[in-house]
Amino acid sequence: MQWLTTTQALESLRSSEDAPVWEQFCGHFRPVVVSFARQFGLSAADAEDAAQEAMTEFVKAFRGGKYDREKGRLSNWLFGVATRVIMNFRGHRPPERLVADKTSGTSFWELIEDDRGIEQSWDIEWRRMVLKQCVEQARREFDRKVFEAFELYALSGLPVEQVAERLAMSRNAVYIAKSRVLSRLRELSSGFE
Amino acid sequence: MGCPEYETIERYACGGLKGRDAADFEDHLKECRDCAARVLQARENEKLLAELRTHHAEIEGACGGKRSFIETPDHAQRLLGQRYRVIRKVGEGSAGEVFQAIDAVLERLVAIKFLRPKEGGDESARQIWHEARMMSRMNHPNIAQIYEIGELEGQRFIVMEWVDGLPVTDAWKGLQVQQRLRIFLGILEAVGAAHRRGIIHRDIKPSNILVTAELKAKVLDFGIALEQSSLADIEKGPYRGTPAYSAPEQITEPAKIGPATDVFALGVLLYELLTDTLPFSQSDVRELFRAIRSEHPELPAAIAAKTPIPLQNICLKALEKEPQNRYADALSLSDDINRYLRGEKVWSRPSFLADKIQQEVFYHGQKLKAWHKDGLLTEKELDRLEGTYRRMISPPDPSIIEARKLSLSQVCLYFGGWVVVLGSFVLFYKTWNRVPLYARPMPAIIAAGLMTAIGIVMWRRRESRLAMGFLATANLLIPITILLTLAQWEVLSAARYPWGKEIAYQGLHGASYLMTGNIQLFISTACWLLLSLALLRVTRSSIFVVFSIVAFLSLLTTCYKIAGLQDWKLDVIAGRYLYPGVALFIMGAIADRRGLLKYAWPLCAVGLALIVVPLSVIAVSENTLFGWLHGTVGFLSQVEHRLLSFTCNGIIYLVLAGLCRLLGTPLQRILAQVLNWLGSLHVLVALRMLDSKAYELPNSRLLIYRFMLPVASVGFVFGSVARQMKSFFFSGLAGVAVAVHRFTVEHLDKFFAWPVSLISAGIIWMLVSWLVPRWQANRRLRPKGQRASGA
Repeated sequence: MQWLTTTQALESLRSSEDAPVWEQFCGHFRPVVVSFARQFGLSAADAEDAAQEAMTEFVKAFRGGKYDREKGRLSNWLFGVATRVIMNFRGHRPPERLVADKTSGTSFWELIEDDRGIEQSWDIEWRRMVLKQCVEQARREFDRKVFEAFELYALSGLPVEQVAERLAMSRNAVYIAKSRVLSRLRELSSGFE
Repeated sequence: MGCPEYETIERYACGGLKGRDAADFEDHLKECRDCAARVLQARENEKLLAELRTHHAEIEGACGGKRSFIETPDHAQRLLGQRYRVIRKVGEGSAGEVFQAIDAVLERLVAIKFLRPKEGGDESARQIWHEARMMSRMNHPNIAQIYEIGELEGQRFIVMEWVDGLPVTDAWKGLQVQQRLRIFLGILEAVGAAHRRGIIHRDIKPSNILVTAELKAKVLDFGIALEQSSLADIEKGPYRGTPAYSAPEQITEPAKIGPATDVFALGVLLYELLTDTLPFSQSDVRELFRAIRSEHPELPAAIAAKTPIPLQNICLKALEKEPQNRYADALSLSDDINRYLRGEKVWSRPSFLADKIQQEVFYHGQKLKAWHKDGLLTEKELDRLEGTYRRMISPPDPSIIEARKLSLSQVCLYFGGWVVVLGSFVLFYKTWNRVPLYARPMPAIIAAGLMTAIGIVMWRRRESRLAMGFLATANLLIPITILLTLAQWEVLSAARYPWGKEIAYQGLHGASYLMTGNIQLFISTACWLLLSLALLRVTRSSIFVVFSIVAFLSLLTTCYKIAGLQDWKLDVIAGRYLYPGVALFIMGAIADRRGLLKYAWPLCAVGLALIVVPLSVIAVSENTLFGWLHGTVGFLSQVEHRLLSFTCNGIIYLVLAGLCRLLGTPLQRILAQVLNWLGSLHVLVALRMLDSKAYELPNSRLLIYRFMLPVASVGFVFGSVARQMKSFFFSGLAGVAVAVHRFTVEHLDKFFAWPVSLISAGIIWMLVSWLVPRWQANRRLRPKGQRASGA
């Protein structure tokens, strides 16, 4: 999969009708909406549906020229669309489904006291997605051993000696691998927004 | 001085460099701009890293998720050392990597599973180890045994029995349903044994169940399944498991995961067993989840026509959407399958069919009421249909039905129980001079203890059918035993009024029943009553309703005896039992009103018996209730008093019948019918008695009484038309027969003309009843016809 910054993704989405771009775009953003919707107490299947609808609505509006990047971040705009769709979804569930879903959900709905809380949880989801995309990209870019050193040492927290022994590297190389991958990750994530 | 190694920069950035090293490095930083930039960068990196770690689970997915952490057999060998010789890598799952190895010490093949390092903290890890330890203690032939668990260089691993077999669904290809069921029962036993210890598998699927060449199933990955959905995941977080075998609650409500979750997966397996297809086989996971949560699978019999319906019902019950509608655990599921294999009735019915039936029945009930209102159904038909429907919707507990059923095993059980009770009775009423005093009640005590203990154990094990046999026997044995013990050991024997009559004290040589005092009797019957009530409360079986009532009556009798009210004049005793009879009847009526039919009918039946029998006894006895009339209306003879008593009884019954009709429940309607019969027969018997005793009366009244029976009988026959009282109709016919017989014997003994005239009269009567209505109908039609032709 080719790496795209958000700007590039949006550009190709505007100009192209073909499925791969659309799929890639959804691949990035859809999980955020699904996860967000699940927190609203929607069941797994309903959350998937809601996300699908939100994505479709977003792209329609985007192609209709309603989204101006100058006026705000993509994240904020998608947040607006997703919230509206999810609320709509909740409203249109038959009452008995909603009751069942509400008890079955994470009861997150009760935890959200104000809009600020909702926004925060969206931001967390968004950031998680961004990081995930970046790590995926970094894994593709780096030499396997380097990335593994980063993963074992930095992420899994294994002692540096063990990592070095297992991967047959010097300790310094492990440190360097960590630094290189992290620096690249920072670059990627800043380009994503 | 050259730039330090990257390690130093890293440690400095994290604050890990202390003392002199730190001071040296700071000096270097002042000169080297590159290193300063690196430190800045490292600090920024640490911030990002902290963020990455908070989202570790998702990031791990991005890292490749199932990437091997112990890649090669060599790596595994390095970790394991001498004891195990790793042969090859056999698999890799989300939970870890599996190697085949030889245990060099015990010389056997083993499977070694390295568990993937996992988030979730100490609590989660402890829980996993705890379960693994529990599983390692489980030595079940159908569970792959855990030999060892351990940790080497931070790598946790489990050494398990090596199972050489095929996944169950591959293994049973080509086998008959019966053979497949044998394998399946093995799986159920394994999962059931784990359930009994509170361990849930959570990931039952064919690849986790291997079947050996001897067709023996081995369940793998027990307890380790928890690894896949650690505690943190259960509370929140994404779905884990195998989609096609997931229960609805696994997808949406992880908090509800329990043994019933495994039952669902087993239901899927049973469905495959029957049909060779999955109940939900959508290829898109989203569609699949939707189907699992909200669709009902196609009926197995619709796919494989030979599927036995009981198995289909068992399967569908295991696949219920709501965990509480499924079998509680694998054991209950296996109970039902065994029941099927033994050829017994299986009572489970899938709730969606039951719901459907319930709905239909509800509408039918409404319709039936409407039809009854419109006169299309009689009350009796309505009762009968409603009764059938009621039984359909809420069949009694299967175990109770089985306990009631006279199967050979059940009859053997009850027969044995009855023999034990009889044996204890023999102990009670015979004299045992040669046996030492302390040993006399011993057989009964041991038997009672044994019956109680077995009964309780069986009940706990939910073997209700057996438990009922033992508990019922214990219920009868315990009061006898108490009585026997108290009597033989002379406990509380101060108030000694031997059984019924005053009999001289017989010392140690007497039979128990002769040595029984009233207080002892009271203790025994009171214990019996309490025991019966307790058992009734626990088992909810109607047999204990009957026991309770009998115990109550025994206690009452004892109380009468103690109070000195037990007179051996029948009518007096009868009078005393009238009151409890009325009380029981009223209690029964109340229970009936509240819909507790199980308690209502025995109470009403015994109550009614206690009303009818005493009233009849009083009526026939010399010293009638109407004795006081003798003084008031002195000219009436004894016979007439009796007539009055009987008539009064008849009226009481008819009033009671009316009351029952007013109460209006089906049970009360049946009682009303019984009372009607009793009332009519009662009056008739009284008339017959009067008839036969009429000679004792003064001549003035003789004639009246002689004709009373035939007249009343004919009255009954024709009077029955008005309110459809069949009881009166048949009583009347019987009365006529009696009257004819008396006339024949007493007055018309030699006259041949008498039977001839009877036959002729009968024929004429029948012809008249045939022709008169026709003639009447013609007469009604004719004037119209005449008018028409005249016009």
